[in-house]
Amino acid sequence: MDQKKEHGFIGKHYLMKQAFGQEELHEREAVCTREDPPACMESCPLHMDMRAVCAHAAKGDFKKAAGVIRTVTPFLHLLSKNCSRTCVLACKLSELGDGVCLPALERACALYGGSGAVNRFMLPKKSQKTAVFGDDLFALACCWELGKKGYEVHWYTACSSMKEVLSDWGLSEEEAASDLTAFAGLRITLEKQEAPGCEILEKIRQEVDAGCVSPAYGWTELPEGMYTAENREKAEQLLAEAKHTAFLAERYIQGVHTSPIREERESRLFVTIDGVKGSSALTDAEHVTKESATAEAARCIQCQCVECIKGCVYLQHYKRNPRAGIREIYNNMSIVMGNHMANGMINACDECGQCKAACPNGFDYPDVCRIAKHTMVETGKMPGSAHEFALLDAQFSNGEAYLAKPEPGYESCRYLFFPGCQASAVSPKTVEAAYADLRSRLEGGTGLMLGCCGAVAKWAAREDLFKDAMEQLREQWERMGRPQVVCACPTCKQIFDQYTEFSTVGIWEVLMESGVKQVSEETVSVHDACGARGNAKMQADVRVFIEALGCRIEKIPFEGDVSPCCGYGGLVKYTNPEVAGKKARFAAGRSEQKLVTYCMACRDQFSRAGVDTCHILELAYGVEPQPVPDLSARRANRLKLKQKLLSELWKEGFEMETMLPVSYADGVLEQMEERMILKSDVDAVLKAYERSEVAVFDEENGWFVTSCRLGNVTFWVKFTREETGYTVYGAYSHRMTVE
Amino acid sequence: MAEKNYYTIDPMGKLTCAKCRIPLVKGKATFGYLGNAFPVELPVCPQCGFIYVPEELALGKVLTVERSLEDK
Repeated sequence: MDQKKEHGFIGKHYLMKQAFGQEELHEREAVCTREDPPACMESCPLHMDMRAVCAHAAKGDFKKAAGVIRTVTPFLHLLSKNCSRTCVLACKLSELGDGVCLPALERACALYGGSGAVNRFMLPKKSQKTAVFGDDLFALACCWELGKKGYEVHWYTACSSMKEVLSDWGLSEEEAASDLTAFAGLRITLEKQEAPGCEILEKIRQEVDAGCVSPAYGWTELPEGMYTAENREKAEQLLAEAKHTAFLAERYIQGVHTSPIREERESRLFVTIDGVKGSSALTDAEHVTKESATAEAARCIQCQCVECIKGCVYLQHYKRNPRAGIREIYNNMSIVMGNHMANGMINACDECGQCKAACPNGFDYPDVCRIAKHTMVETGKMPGSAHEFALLDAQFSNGEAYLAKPEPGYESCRYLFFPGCQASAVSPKTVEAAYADLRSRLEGGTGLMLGCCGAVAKWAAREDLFKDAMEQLREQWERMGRPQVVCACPTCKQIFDQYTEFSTVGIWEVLMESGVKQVSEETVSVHDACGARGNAKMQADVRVFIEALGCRIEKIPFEGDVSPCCGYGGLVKYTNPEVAGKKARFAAGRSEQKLVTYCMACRDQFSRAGVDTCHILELAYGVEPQPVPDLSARRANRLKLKQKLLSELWKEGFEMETMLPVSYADGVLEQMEERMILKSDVDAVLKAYERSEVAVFDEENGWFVTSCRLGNVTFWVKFTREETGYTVYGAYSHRMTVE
Repeated sequence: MAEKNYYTIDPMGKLTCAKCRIPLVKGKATFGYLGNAFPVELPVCPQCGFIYVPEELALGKVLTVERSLEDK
């Protein structure tokens, strides 16, 4: 039992691990400012949500717009005539032109927003009695505040009616009546009291549970349970004071101690104003019409921060903001039984860090996805299908296709070229050319290592496999005499810098140092790789290299630290091809000219998106980008490169496994690519068939269907067998076992 | 009470075991994934016991169930 507890078992079968608690969740959420109020709301003493008012009014829905104001105060006409327009001055638009004329919208809400009367059945009813003393707006507002909360209100005043208070503020008979519709149904009794003194206050205090006293009297010594405020001049300030004083009275009735001092927190909301142009406000607020008010409300830019979302296709695809996203992920991690609805969303984040770099406060969404992925792996909740293909590919890179050799003629080397698994898979010719060039430029021997840096295991949250990959690389690196590693991929370099003691250098730096020939006169754009995020030196070095090659660089949106991911990062290409494709198209679409990359995975993704693109080394060595290799060709390229280099440089043989002669019917290879089935899988199934001869003959279609379980997947192949070999008509797979 | 079957498919005499050269018949089989088992009826060779999973089933219901179990 104790052992089970230690391992986080809940019940019989469920392994639970809480990555972080609610406190940390709240701390992480608080970094995001999107819940902070906009400037207009913050500057308003009543904290009226004028952004929401504008949103409704812009659609012509003045009833809803008025409803937003009426949750705060019923005095629409009064405010439109008397409020001191701090919101207009604070409006973000006032930095570019005129701020939105919010008093005009208040007037439009008063005119076209319907009556403020509340259904009497909706009004609460409380047994306690309250008293309000005063002849001013403060007292009237206190009556409304306490009345709408359901208390019986006794208003001690020299006024003979509520309208009298409002007419003092310049409201006409109709306007005052309109503002007072909200008082209908409230239990307010007017107790005529000319010039009350402190003594009556004491007496009435005995009859009621709490009360509010207008600051106009100037009384400072009040009986317990009676509250007053600072005397203010402006309407909105008086209303705000009344709201707070009524709140204190209510808290007293409820028996809850509340500090009379209000806490004012400064809004940190960052406002995205890309492309916003200044404009003028409507001129005649007094005679506002529905149309002019709608047009004025439509000027509101709905202040919000979308810095993280505007360049991230993933957040746009899932229609999430990172703040809401981490709560969903937190809940997903906390589920013991039931569906983990956010698994797909977690695995579709490429952890590229663009959103974090774009956030004014550095909100770290990818970190939460990383933690969630690790938790899923540790608790056995990571879907097997998510990363298996990519992990097997990495295993292939560091197994069958792996090569680690010192330069011929050397036992130990000063340098080691590490082109990265994608370069060998996508453009083996470039790797060959670069290695030949490095050998001729560098003295002291340049070894070669073809393999995976471990990024794949890291992305899949498989620390065990990452450790294995690191040990394998480190052992060969030691054997070669601890050479400086010349990286051709920013992610490999980043991984080595972060997790090993290797001294690393980018190939572009090495080439720049020993001289670069001009090879082009093109105008190009540069796509910054995720591995170069936060590395200004790398971003700058690559640009210097590209310019030395003769290119002129044109700027594109989202460069440098806020560069979007190409869709390969985080293995999204395998876990969610749809999102990966969208990402590639977005990143590729930023440039109208050739898009030069310094990561081969980016180059491959952009080629798939159908744009003119090349890798810096393809540019430097004049290698024409080859047709986009399919999954099988990516493996074959790595094996062929290994075979060629072993044979030509080290005079060693390398036998590749002989495949059965197979031809594929039209559309089958595309179908296999989509289903992530390799030619080698088909070969293994057919070889298994040759051994067992077990298959089904499908009379209708005239082909045979056979299957074989390879690892965790059962593959099925539809085929016919001729003398010259096999023809394959289709292939499919499933992970379920069948017995 | 009859045993519950999650899926039934009849070979309708159109499928033959290539090894045993006899028609496949409707037979009992069990799909298993992540500790769950689902009894089904699939085309089976009555002699060698080979079970055939058609493409529509593998990419349809099987895939849907796999995904929902992975998210459990």
